[in-house]
Amino acid sequence: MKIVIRLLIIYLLFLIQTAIGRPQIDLIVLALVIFSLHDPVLYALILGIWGGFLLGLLNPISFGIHIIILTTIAFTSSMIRRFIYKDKIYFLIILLLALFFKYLVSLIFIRTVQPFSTWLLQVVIILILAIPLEIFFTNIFYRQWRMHFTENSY
Amino acid sequence: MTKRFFIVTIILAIAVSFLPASIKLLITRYPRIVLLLPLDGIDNFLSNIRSQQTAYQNLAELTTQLTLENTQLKAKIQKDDFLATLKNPDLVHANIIARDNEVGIRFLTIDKGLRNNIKIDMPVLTAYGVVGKIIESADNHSIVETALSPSLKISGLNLRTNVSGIIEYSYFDKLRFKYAFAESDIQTNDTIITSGLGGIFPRGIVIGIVLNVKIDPTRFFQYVDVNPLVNFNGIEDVFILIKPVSFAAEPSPKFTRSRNLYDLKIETPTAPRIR
Repeated sequence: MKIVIRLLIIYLLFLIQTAIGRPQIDLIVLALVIFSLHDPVLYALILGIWGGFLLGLLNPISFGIHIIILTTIAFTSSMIRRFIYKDKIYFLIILLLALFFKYLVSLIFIRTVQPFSTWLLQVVIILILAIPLEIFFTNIFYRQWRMHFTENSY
Repeated sequence: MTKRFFIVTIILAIAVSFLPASIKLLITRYPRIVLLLPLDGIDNFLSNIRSQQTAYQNLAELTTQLTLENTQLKAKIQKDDFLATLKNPDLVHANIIARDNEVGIRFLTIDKGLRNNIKIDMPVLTAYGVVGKIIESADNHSIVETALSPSLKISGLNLRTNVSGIIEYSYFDKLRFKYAFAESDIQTNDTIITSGLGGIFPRGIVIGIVLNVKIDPTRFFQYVDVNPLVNFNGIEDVFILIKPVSFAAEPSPKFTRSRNLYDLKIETPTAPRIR
């Protein structure tokens, strides 16, 4: 049930991000990083595949590339969270790296990506949205986890 | 286990990405139809709203123009030779973006301003009649003082009998037609229009309908309550009259109103050439 809700959220964010237009705000990557930092690795992988699959529908010629990108982001975030995830600053750094990785891979393999300035604007918007969304998601889904984590960390 | 799953996924994704484009299109066809269906719905919905909004604005503008013309033609039938008629009135549509609800609907903020040639003292109307006038105009917005503001006085005229007076705010959402002599012929359901005096509102725009008339024999003037035709509470968009007036009749000399806004000019018609 948990995974279904997350899949639906990713789908909803996909619809929103597609409907907004330009500059496209990468809400899927944002949500994926948040979920990957909290959920089990398997969940993160499934969400990465799902997100990549959805993004691939918009650009069927390069179908598969987005699955590689998002699965890698999900898996990496999920694996390194136990080492560094203690504060929101690490979340922002992971998000920034994820966005940069996505941009870089898209630049190499898809070629028809947006200019760097647009990407930069997009990153700024996502970083502004990141903390409120992180608080929102953690308060809804991971309150118990967070409390447990906070107690242990002190 | 998860590492293996990850590696398998990546290998599969790489394999898929190397497939020919036609196969990729075939694979993604049905998921695309199903999963992008809401986007089609959203897009259709938004474009429908946009087209309906445009159609509504066009219709509202047309209605306003026709109402103005209709009122003025009616007045012309009443043997009013010196009636100002709006020839191709130049209207600017504006949406109301803020209201002063605390003190009644006395001031409205609209989304058009100096950039749209909106200037102070321009009349503001709807298809139903007078709303008020512009009292402040900034680049992107303007403030309208409505007829429900106690400080706005409009020169009015009874369409049936040509009795003139001053329209001003009375109570709640009602107006009062003041300074009409006790012996003047004013009856319930008479239409009150703008008289054109004062230079802000051109003659012939509907203000309201006479609600009741009270005649006090000890007083010079009668009390005439007027119900404005514009519903100030439900108003959502308005029109600003940019090109306010030109005279229909062609008497000589022809003149326009004495406001800066309307470019004061007195024109004497050229005499016909005699050969």
